[in-house]
Formats: sequence, C-alpha cells, structure tokens
Amino acid sequence: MDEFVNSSIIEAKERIKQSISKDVIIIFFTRLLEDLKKNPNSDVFGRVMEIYYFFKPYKKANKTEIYDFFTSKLDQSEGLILDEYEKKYFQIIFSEINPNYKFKNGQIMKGRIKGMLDKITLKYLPNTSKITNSYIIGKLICSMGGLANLVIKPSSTIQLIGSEKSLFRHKRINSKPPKYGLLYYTEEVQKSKNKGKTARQIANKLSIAIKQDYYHNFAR
Amino acid sequence: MEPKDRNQKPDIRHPTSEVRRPTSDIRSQTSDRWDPNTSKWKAALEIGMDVKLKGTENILYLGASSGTTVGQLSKLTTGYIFAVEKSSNMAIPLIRLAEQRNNIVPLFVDAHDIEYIKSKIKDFKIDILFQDIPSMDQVEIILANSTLVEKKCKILLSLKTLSISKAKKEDIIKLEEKKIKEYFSIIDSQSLEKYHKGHTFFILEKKK
Repeated sequence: MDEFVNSSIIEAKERIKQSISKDVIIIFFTRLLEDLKKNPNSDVFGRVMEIYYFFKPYKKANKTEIYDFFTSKLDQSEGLILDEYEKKYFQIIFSEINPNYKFKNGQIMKGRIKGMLDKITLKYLPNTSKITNSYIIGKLICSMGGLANLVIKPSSTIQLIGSEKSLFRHKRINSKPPKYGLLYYTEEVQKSKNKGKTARQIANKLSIAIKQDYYHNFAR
Repeated sequence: MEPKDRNQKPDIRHPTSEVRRPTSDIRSQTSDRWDPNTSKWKAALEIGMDVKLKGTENILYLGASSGTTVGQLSKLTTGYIFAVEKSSNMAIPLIRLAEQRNNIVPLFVDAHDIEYIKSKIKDFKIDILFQDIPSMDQVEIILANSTLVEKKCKILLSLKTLSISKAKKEDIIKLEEKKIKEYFSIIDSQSLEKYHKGHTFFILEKKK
C-alpha cells in the first residue's frame, strides 16, 4: 500500500481517538447497575461488548479474546484514554467476573459500582452531582444517547424524560398530561407536597448545571 | 403505497442508551451489486445522467458516511478517493474499508474546514467533486469547496430540499438555483424521485 494512504489512515485514527468522549464510561456503569438491580445473576456480555467497541473499534473479537483483553491489559492505543483511577475501576470489576460473563457476587458489586459512579460523576459533572444523585444523572444521559444530545434539550424535556407513553397519549386522546418522568425518584420530589412544582424546579436547575459542566469539561 | 394505519402504537423509545452502529459492513461495501436505492450516484446513472467514470480520476467525496458508495467507486478508478466524513460512528467502517483497499484516503474532518482538506490534497489534481451532505447550508459548503478545484472539474451535487425547509420543493429549488447560478453554470439537473424521495441531482461547472 502507498505511504500516502497509510499515513492518512494513521492520522484519521488519531483524530477519532481524540474525539471519543468520556460519557461512554458513565453510560457503561449505569447500564451495569440497572441490570444488576433487576437480577444480580444476569449476563453482562452485551454491556461489555458495547464498551469494547470504543477501545478497539477496528477489529472483531470473540468472547474469550474480549475477556483476556479486559483482565490482562487495557490497551489504550486505538480508542478510549483512561485515567489511573478509571483503570483501577475497570480492573476491579473485571476481576469479579467469571469467564461466562456473570458476576461472582452481584449483591456486593452493586454497592461498589454505585460508589465508582459517584466518584466519576463528581469528577466530570461537579455541578450536576450537587443537585441529584449519580444514578439518575446516568439514566438521563442514557435515555438521550449521550451528553451532547442532552445539553441541547430544553428543561421541559428533561422534566418529562421517562414518561413518553403518557405524553403521547395526551397528545393523541387529550388525556391528562404528565408532570414528571424519571425525576419522580429523586429525594426532593418524594418528600414534597407539590410534586409537579418541585420536579419543574429541579429540571430548570439541572439544565443550567449540565450546560456549565459540558462546556467546561467536554466541549472543545 | 398503503395508507398509514392510525391504530398503530407510536414509536416509543424506552430510556436506555444506544450505541449506534452503521448498517453497512465490509460485505455491503465490497459486494458486486451497486444498489441505486441507497446510493445517489448509482441512481443518477440509472436515470441516464452523464456521471460515468473513465477509470483514472481523482475524486473528492464529501459526506462519505460508512462507505457503501466509496467502496464501489474504488473498484472503478485507479486514482485516489478523498472521503470526508464528520461523525466517528460512520468513519470507523470507512477506515476499515480503507485498510482493505488501496486508493481510499479517509479524512475525519468537517466539510467546512477547507484549510485541512487543502493541506491533505496537496498537489493532486481533482477531476470530480461530489457532495451528499443533508444540511441547511448545502450550497454554501459546495461553494467553499469549489475553490479547491480547477475549472475543468466536474461538480456533482445531490440536493435534499427537506433539510433546508419544509416549503414546497419547487420554491426551494428556485431559490437555491439563484444562488448556484452566480458561480456555476448548470449543465444538467434531474430529480431522483424514483429512488430517493425529495432529492435532485445537479451537474455543474465553474464559471471562472
């Protein structure tokens, strides 16, 4: 092959590597937590496959190769770049997974993964972590498919994420509109007497905080 | 076409994340069939426009996505194909294709960034400029990129009117043609309604 074509391929790979954003890690941890909450003995190969795609996007691999990749060496040459802390978290998690992709003790790992998620959101999204807990932030990001999509949306959309069924029913049949979606499960809304009002207030503050964090940490 | 069933449930997406993968793979990029329903270039060929390749051209392809058309074109020329794509989800299969073939040069850059493209083209002479980017400023992009090519170069534009506005197709085309006629002369323009809804295909040439 030509030198010209080769050098251009290498340069394109470098540029792609710089453009992969870190909210992929947040999405991975929240989806693991979600699965473990439903069933501590569940199969996690699908989640692992999704994040393997960001480490090595140019190759296809078997189940055993992926397992070896995560337990022995985390090669950061072609994809995601990890800190030392994030590397430790990955090593801890994958030391607790069997080769058939099930956790040895799912109940204990729930608490540990929640702790890791807290630290990661505190590092990358400090302003939003003051408002709600990390699990709900992760679920909001997952539902939109990334932080870059969530930043653009208005606060009324953030208020109603998770209640799409009742929202479209309201539009179709003119039934009562929903007041809250995922935000129902926050502490403030559970305790308050006027739940719709607090959900709206939290969504307003969240949308400001997400923009602060995104343009400070993630955007270029 | 059958009428829409109003009793169908709406397309609800439950709150989960999606790792979007493009549908094309090495198999579809290098297969023998070139499908006019997914490729604008082939649709123009089927209608009868003058877009056939001679065999030695260098092509600048804006909006390459995952490389279905680019893979077919690389079989038909011996020159280089400069494939420009902005999204990382789509550029990864394109790079996998470029590793297999010999003459694809992938450029992971926005089509507005002309200085980078100019620094990568260097001294190569470009014979065809093709654009397939669905955005509001399609015409401005091709105006800016036409400064990189000479006067003899053939310029092909696939215009998607829905991404400009929801008005009627004829009104939008009139407005855009006014902008185009300042700098280009239109050799041919036909609608690709048979294969792609809402697209028109232009063959242009630089005036100066």
